[in-house]
Amino acid sequence: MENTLAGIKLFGSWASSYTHRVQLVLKLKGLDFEYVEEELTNKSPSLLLYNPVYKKVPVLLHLDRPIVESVIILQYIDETWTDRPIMPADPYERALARFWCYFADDKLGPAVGAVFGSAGEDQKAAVAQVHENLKLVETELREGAFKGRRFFGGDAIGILDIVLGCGSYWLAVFDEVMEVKLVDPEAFPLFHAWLREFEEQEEVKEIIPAIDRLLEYARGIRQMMLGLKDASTTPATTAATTTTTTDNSSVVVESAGSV
Amino acid sequence: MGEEGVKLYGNILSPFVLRVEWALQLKGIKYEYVNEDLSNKSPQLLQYNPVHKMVPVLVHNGRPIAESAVIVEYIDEAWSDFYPLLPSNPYQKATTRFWAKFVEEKCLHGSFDVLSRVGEEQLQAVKEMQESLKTLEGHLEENKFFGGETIGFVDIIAGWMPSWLGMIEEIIGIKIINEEDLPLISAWIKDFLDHNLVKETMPPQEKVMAHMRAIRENVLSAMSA
Repeated sequence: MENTLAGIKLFGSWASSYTHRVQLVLKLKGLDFEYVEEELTNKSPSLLLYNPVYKKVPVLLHLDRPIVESVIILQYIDETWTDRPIMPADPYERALARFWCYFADDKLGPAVGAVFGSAGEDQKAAVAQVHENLKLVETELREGAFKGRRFFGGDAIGILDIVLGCGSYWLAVFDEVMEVKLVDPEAFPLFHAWLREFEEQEEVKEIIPAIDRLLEYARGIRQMMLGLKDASTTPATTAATTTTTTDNSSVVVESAGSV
Repeated sequence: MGEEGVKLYGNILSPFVLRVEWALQLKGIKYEYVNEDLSNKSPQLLQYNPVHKMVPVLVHNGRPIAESAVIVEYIDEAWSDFYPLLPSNPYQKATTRFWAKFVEEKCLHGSFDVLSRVGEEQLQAVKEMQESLKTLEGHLEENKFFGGETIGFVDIIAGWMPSWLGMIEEIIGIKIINEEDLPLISAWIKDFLDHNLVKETMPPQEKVMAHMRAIRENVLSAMSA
């Protein structure tokens, strides 16, 4: 049912962590919205109209104007509905939040996606890369910018918690599907503790899909990706960014890539 | 300490450092420029940017910020009472950020593909680059700059293109930007290169060209190894 007061519509996909980010911030701010589930192998004309450049979810429609790219959407929502802010007020803190959001999407996310799309020696190398990236975040939690904080945003969830957190549930799924250990609590105790705190939040529990649905989905995609890998000569490490995968697998890789 | 506490770690070869210099100078901010030898990075740089170990890094009152787009937004917010670089309206701001990201993802990576490929693959990369520029052109509409009458955030983020794409065209011997196909982008390039600030901060072309030729050689020899 469309909420005419806030005038918000969200085009998303149930397995997309990028979509979850937007759903979570809307929930935190107590904003009603109309949700449209997109079938990514059969995108609606509306989606293609509102996001002609990338043709991806999520797309936020507010007062009939589209906003795309999840980190951009998150900031738009924060700047438009200013109660319960997710960005810090101080310019330096804001710069730090943005820096680490981009790190999550440009480095950590693709690294996790590469783990999902590879096997054998290639996968070992991909796992090592994820660990390198997690080490950097762990360092900031232990002795850097985020030292002593319950969440990256401080006492309450902020934009970086949302960006890193939505999609981190895939880590547990991947551990199970591929028998890799991405977030070893001994190697990354603070990150591990933060993740548990994040996932315990009521709003987060309401957004994250059921684990068996995620497992089933991931198993299916993994089988398909390995099948594609055998058929093609494309190196596994590019699986996260190749355009030869179908929309379904790119959703999971995208979802994985949102960690 | 105020404005005196502004230090920029950079290198003349880096278009990303230029973005920060444009932002600082448009805002009239005084800063100390620290030149980094990229083959022998200083301990300070590695301390200030342990994640990427790259220039530019802005240090303001002792606190470091890395990543050029992050730095430029920081400059806009920390010095907010003169020459806004981003619009204040949230929707226009979101649109601005979108096109800046598009430039980074499509045009920047696309230009590297153009520079580092050969034969059919290179021609394909040129074609994709032209399509990206055509898409970007739509955002210019009737304006002189992406920021309107004056240089704004997207101009700053895209500002490497006028000179760097020209240099790439010369190195590879293929024209990427044809005036008939990309009239608005071509006009923007002329206006941008004609801007006093751009003229004053233009790096020495021979040095940059030599650097880009070296990049191309390295990639090609790695491929054939």
